[in-house]
Amino acid sequence: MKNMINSGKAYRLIVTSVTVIIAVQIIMLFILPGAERNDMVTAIIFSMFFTMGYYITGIRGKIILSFLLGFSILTPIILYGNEAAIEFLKSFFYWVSVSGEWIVEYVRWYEIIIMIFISFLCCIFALLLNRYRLAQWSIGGGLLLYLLFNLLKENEVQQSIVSFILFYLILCYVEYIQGRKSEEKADERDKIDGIDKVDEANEERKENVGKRSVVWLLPFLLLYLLVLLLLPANQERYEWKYVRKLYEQIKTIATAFTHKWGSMFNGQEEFRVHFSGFSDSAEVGGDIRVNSTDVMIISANYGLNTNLYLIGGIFDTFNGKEWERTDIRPQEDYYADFVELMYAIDRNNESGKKSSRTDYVRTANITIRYQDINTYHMFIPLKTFSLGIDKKKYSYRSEGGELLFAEVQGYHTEYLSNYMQMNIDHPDFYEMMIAESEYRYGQGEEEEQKILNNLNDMYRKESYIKVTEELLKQRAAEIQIIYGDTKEPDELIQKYLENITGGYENDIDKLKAIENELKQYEYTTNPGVIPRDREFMEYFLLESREGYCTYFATAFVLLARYEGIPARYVQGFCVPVESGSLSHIQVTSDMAHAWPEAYIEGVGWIPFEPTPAYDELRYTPWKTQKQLEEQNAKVHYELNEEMAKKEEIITKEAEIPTEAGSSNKKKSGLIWGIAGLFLLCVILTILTTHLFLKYRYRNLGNKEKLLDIIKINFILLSDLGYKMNMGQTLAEFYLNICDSEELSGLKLAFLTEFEEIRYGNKVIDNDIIKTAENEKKELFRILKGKYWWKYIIRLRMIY
Amino acid sequence: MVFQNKTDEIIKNIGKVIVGREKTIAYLMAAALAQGHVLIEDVPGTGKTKLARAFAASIDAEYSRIQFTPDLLPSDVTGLNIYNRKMDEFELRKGPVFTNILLADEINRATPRTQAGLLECMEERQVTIDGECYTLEFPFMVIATQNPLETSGTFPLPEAQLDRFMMKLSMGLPNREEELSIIERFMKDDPIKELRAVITKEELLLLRDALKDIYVHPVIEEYMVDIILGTRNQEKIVMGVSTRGTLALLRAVKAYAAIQGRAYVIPDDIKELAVPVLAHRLVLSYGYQKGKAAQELMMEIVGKISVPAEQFWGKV
Repeated sequence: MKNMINSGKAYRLIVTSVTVIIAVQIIMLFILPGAERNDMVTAIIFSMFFTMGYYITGIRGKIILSFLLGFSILTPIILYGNEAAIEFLKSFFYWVSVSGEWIVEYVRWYEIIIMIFISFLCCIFALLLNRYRLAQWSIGGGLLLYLLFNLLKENEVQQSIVSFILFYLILCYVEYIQGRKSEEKADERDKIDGIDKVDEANEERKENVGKRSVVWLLPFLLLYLLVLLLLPANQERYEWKYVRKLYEQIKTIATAFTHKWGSMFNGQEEFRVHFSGFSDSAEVGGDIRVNSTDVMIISANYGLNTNLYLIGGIFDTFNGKEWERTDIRPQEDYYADFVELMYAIDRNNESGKKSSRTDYVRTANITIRYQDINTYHMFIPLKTFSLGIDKKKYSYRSEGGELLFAEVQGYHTEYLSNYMQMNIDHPDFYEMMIAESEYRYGQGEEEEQKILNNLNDMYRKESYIKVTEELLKQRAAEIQIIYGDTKEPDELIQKYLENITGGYENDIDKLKAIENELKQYEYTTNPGVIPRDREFMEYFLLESREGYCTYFATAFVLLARYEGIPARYVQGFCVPVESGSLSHIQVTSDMAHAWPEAYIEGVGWIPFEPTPAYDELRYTPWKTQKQLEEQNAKVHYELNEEMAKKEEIITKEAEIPTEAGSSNKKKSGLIWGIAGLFLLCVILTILTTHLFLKYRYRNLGNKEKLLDIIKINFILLSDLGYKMNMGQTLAEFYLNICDSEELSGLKLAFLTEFEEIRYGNKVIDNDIIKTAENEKKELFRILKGKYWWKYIIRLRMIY
Repeated sequence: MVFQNKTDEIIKNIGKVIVGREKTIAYLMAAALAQGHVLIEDVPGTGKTKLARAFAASIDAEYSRIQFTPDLLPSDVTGLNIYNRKMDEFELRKGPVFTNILLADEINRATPRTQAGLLECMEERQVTIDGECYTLEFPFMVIATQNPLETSGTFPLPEAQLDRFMMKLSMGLPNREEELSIIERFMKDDPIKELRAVITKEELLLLRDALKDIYVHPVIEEYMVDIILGTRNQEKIVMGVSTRGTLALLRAVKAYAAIQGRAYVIPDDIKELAVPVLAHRLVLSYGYQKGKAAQELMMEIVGKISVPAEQFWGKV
């Protein structure tokens, strides 16, 4: 069993070396944070040699080790003389403890000493590893934890460290599995052998059986390690997309489930977000809690590049405490509103200001999918011009500006909205608004009529009403009545308002002034309750001057109405859109928001943002064509986004066949690569096993040698088609095969020899082995002639 | 080597009389060395008695023969005390059992009582007459014959008694060439008259003692036990081989290996001897007891048990 112990040792050596390399790398990271790769490599090689020396030569190795250790420490002392030595040691101490103080000429020696120190540590470490299996396992666990920790922390870990750790873990695992299997086999073999064994030797053998198999695997493991080391690491951080997707999927399913059951128990109640934003009733006042549940998911199909304001509820009447809706006009108001805006822009362009329409508005297309929400409301952005919704599945109606489902909708409700994003903060847009707000419907001439007809042709679907000047005029009048109606403000407010809007002529300037004034206020989610005896407006505007969006929106709407401008209170969601994450935008309940919109006759509903915290969300202007032309062409590309995107799609389609071609090439390359690797593996196997077997064979005792040869002879015979059956004895087997022609030249003496050795107690001399070896050669010759491929497979056994 | 020479000589000697039954002779020889008794079962006229006589003649030992009949009494086998009027005392008249090789012809014709008397002698190697024990000298071997065909007026040996025979052999009919050579040999005179003893009792004793040195590898032991256990727990077998059978097999294979000139037992020995040593010990279930069913069953069992050898196949 000598060979097994040897292979066990070889295995130990490798495991230990790997561990030591990992240890060195990690230690180096801590001790020499600035160490370069070369230093690392030196250290690794150094420590490997030390450990190998320790293992291969036993006590002698230890002596050499201590000699080297002493020598390396003493050399600098001898080199630099006595005083210098002390100085050197001092400086070394400083160098280790305080990183700043070091003398340049000594640095090389410091490093060497550190390496020796590391090697010394490694030796102790290796000793531990070798002695205790538990140590090996606990180190494996520790390394795994280290990797996981870094993974979770998203720290950067050197590729080589990762490779070595993985290699080590695989080694441990393979040993464990093989060990378990071979233990069983060893037990069986003991049964068959039946030779009296000393328990200790037996134990040792069992220990080593597993490791022997590992030695077989080593060339491949080393290959694996090499691949790990050489493969270019991805420079970007791994994003765990798959895991995230899985997580989201699970979450969706889980929420869908709870949602379903929840709605069963709670009945179909209207969704309520108490925070300022969306609820059925729009109460003003009171503290709010911010909580976050996933309400919807928005897929940006096309063109989305500004923050998204989703309109849910629209309210017209404030009763002093909460908002109510009295507007029940059945027309599709959103469409009329859209046409109104487009009409204004086109009119404006027609009247001489030749600028691109994209300076004012841009199309966007989004899909909205409900998640954990129960609501009658359909959420759409302002200036929506067409909706994509499965009308068989969902029936909805328009009431006032709102869109309402016939039934409460929740999970998986899905629809599509095409809308115009407004460049609302841009000076050009502002100018346009001011200019067009002077336009009065009904005075339209032929030219205007034409524009309106064009717009209708362009955007109107069959079910939509045809927008005409009369309709717009009527609508404006209705809005004036519904959204302009208010009580007279008391004197204090009157004064306050005059202060703000005093100097401005037109409505839009006035509204801007109000907005700017309100922005000076304090934003808080805990404004406290409005005292019972106080009016909301008076209390908020003049006294507390703090609140959240509901406060600001309400105040703005009422102030606008005092000025005689129709305004409405809108609830919904304000969804920030980051340019990076366009494909899926998660809308959560804490994005609920309330804001005011004012009606400018001739332009339509224009949103405002008096809430201080939301200023930046509403106003993100994009550049007009003129501005862009001044800049370089690259940005120009961005402007013509629509066109560009279309082009991109076209080019992508065109590229598909060429891509397939190149991928074919890549594929064939990959196949060749894999085939080559496979071949390499095969050659490696044959080579290493051959070498290993040869080495082992040389160190065997006579009996084992003969058994080895006989074993191979048996295998060769079975390859040739002469296989011993289970119930057959050796003599019977011999009788069976001695008649065959191809074996006629052979005496097959090994069979009878084997019989004696197996069942008797014959002494084996060299002659027996020689004859058996000769017969082995003969068998190989026969096999080579008969089945060359089997010969190749068995090539490793020629020695 | 001496061993093989001697046994070869005996076998050759017997071969002068019995044509073409080397295996049977070798088994008989093995049984003799292993101190076992043999039951030869075959149709009349196949040379059962001839074989026994030739074997007895080859050994320089006493030989006696009993023809078993229904009226044979136990005392006819063992002997009895007779009153000597002259001396005025009882005097032992030894029966035919006081010999070295006893041929019990047609043993199944005697009454169970007589059979039992003989069988006690076989197992204990001693004779009890009127409460007094007489030990039988080595070698003591019973070669019994029986005829499987004529069953009327016979008392088949009970299983317990069959068990005491180490082997049950059969002669078989000779083929054409053998028949011719038999004619030639017996042309002038019975060759058995010319047979001379080639081995003395003492030499036989030495050979017997030499068997102790025959090596039985533990795997061989296991193989044997596997076969024995294979006969138990069988659907077709009511009762498998007993422990006595195991020991008989062990002794037989050792002797047989020695006869083959080997100092160790190989699985082939066991395979070969399994039928003569074990088959007659099987008690078959009802419906299977006909012809050579036991032998065939035994072969089947042996064929199923894997021979202990290194399991080299497919593993390096």
